[in-house]
Amino acid sequence: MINIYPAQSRYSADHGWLQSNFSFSFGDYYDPDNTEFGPLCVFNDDTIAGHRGFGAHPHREMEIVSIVLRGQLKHEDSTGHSAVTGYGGVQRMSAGTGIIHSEVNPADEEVELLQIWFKPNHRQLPPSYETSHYNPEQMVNQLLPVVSHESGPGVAHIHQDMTIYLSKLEAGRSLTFTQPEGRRIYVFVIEGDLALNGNAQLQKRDAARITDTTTLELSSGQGAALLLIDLP
Amino acid sequence: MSESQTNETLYIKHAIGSRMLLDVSGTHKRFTLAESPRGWSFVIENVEPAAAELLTRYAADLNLFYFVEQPGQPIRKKWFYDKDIPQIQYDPGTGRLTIDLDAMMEYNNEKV
Repeated sequence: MINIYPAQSRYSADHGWLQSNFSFSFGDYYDPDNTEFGPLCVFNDDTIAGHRGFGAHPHREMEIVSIVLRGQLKHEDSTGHSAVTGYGGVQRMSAGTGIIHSEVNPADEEVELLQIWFKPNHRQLPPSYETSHYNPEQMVNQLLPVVSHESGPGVAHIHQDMTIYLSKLEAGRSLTFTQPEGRRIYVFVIEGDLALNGNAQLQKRDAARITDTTTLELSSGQGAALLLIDLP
Repeated sequence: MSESQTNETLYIKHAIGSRMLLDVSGTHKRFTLAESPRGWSFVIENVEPAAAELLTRYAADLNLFYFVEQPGQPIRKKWFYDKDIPQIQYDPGTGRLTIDLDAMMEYNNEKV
């Protein structure tokens, strides 16, 4: 089953320095019927003004992934890590038993990012952090893994049975994704147009939550940048 | 705020997405904080049964934010939580709710 969530169905908040779109319950937005999709529980599409961001604040028991689409994001945390990530970079923080961190745009230009939270497969993990870098050329007409429980070059490790892929489909091209029975797929269109299995049509910032589907064909008429998550 | 006045604030939020579960200070309920054998213990007065049920239901995902403001001083922020599941006791007769936790981090928004 493919359930489409149009971009405009998201909860939007404009704080001036921050524009956010929440795909799941978050902050002031609470819908008891929209709190998670498997271990995926937060999917925020944020734009942060230059030299603004989130000051030091705590997290625990979450795997938090930040994918920078444009601009720069600076992370600092109580375990001593500090890193600036741009396009082509992914930040993965395992909050575990507790961590304090800040996320700030260190540049003059806006930063556009996706922040995605997952429940870990084990609680009480020690807090940890990493920054990984992928080659955007390798995602052209391919599903490039960028976060996974399986190790690989340019792949951030996550404590959950899942993989995040990025792809850039050229106009008129298609891809097929397969997974074992009993799993879920989450698709988010970053840019462009996307068709799923030939009929479900998605546009920019639309999402699809997919169950009971072991084979998914992704195709684009005009071209698309997309994110796909393979989930339990 | 007079020089001798200390303002204490307590918020209880869900760890996933920071949903406010109980704004203790917003409801002006009295509360106390003390050290306990487990770590720290908050006692909150006049808690409604529905609020107690909410906190019990989400016990494994509670974040407690305790802020202390004194004139001329930066706000002190302490984050209390339990590495496993906190001990929660509620007396519906008196409305007294006790949360016992084993972890705390002090922080401020300026630096990690």
